[in-house]
Order: sequence, then C-alpha cells, then structure tokens
Amino acid sequence: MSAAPRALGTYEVTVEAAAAAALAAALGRRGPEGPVPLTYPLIWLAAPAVRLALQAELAGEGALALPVHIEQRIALSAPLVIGAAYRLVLTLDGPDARRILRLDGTLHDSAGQEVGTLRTGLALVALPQGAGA
Amino acid sequence: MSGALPVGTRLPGVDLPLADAEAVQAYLAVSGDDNPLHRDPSMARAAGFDDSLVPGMLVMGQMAEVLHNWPACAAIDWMLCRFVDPVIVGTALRCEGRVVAQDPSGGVILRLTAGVGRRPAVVAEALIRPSP
Repeated sequence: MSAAPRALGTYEVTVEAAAAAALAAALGRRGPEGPVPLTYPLIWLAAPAVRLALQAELAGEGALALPVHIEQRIALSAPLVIGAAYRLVLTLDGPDARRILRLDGTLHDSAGQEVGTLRTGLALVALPQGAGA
Repeated sequence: MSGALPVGTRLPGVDLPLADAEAVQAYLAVSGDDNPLHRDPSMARAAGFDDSLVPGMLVMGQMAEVLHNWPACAAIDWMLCRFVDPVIVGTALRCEGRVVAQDPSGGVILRLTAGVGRRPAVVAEALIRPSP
C-alpha cells in the first residue's frame, strides 16, 4: 500500500468532434448544438496509456479489487475546444488505509496555460476469491 | 452579475434520462469505461451490490447537461460530485438544485442532487456563470 502522491504521467490529448458528439448523445442531448460535455476529460482517463499506468501503480492491490467512483471534480477556466490539443498531467495519491485513491489532473493548453483541473476519487472494492475479472 | 440568481433560487427539477442497460452500454462504449461493475451483474453482486451499477460519470454528465440547459446558466466553471449511493441500472433519477451562495467571482454556487424521492445518490456543487 502506497500513500505518497506520485506522478502518473503526462499525456497529449485532444477533443475529438465525433467523441464529443457521441458523449453528448449518450448523456441524452438531442441535436448537435451545445458545448463539449463537461465530463469529456474522463474519456482521456480511460485511454489505454493512462489505464496501463494506473494498473502498474495498483499492481500490488491484486486482481480482486475493483475501483468504484466516489468523487469527481472538474474545473475549466474556458470551455474545451473541438480539435484543440491539450497536455494532461496526472498525479496519483493513495490508496490510503481506507483503500481510497485520488487521481489529480492538470490540463494545459498548447501555449502551456493551465485551463483546468480534475480530481477523481476511487474506492477499491474487494471481490471474494473466485470472482475476479 | 449574479443578482438575477439570488440565494435560494431553485433549479427546476428535471427527470434525468433513464440509465437503463441500453443507455449504460452506449455510455460505456463512448467513455471507454470498462469497469465490470457496470457491465457484469454477477461481478456487481460479487462485490456486494444488488445489480450492475450506473457509472457515476454518466449521472454527473447528465447533471451537467441539466445546468447547460437551464437558461439562467451561461457556463459551468467547476462541478464537484460525490457519489454517495450506488445507482442500479434502470433506476429513475431526478435532479434538483438551488443556489446556495454568491461567489466573489460573480458566479453563483448551486447545490444539486440526483436521486430517488428524497434519497440522493449523487450530491453535487457547481459554480456557474449566470446568463446576462
């Protein structure tokens, strides 16, 4: 168990028009109008490179632990822009004694300006022996 | 700027789009979330839940859409959600909220819930920019 905050990685990410439209539709939006959904950055957190880094960090937790989302904060100083490139810097903290871990992200635009932050709280839920994925 | 949204102003209650199995699958396909708790009822039961869980981020996204659709809201600066009670796939949720504070930035802070009856499953706060 490790509780010290540590860098998870830095990732080049973009807002893809098709993904933004599909996410908006999946959230119930009708029609193509409207801003990029606020929760679009979670698509970046599900990217294979991020997941692999997380899995490597959590390897010691064993295969019989599943993450349950308990908290999410998203702050943006300006709406996300379709087609724009951003740099996402992620830091992992935990899991703590309660098996809660926190993933913090800072989003920068192509000029290096900070344009947003993310905080994801996850609880690791143990599965009984024999129920592992 | 926020005088049009005094403390106590209520966000009109909205029934969130039903997150049934089809809607959850559509969301998972887009989001890339492959957590088996959302896909596999047997895995969810093994973890102690009654059935597959609606992704918290699906509910948060729907709540953010409610704010975007509220004519009084011009933009969301930040939103914080706490997923306080697991939501089983197929559960109908209603979103409600009210302004709880003025922010020095000129925005207002809303407290929101999404839940069943008076029992919240998601508790949220958001700083929004009121529409002019």
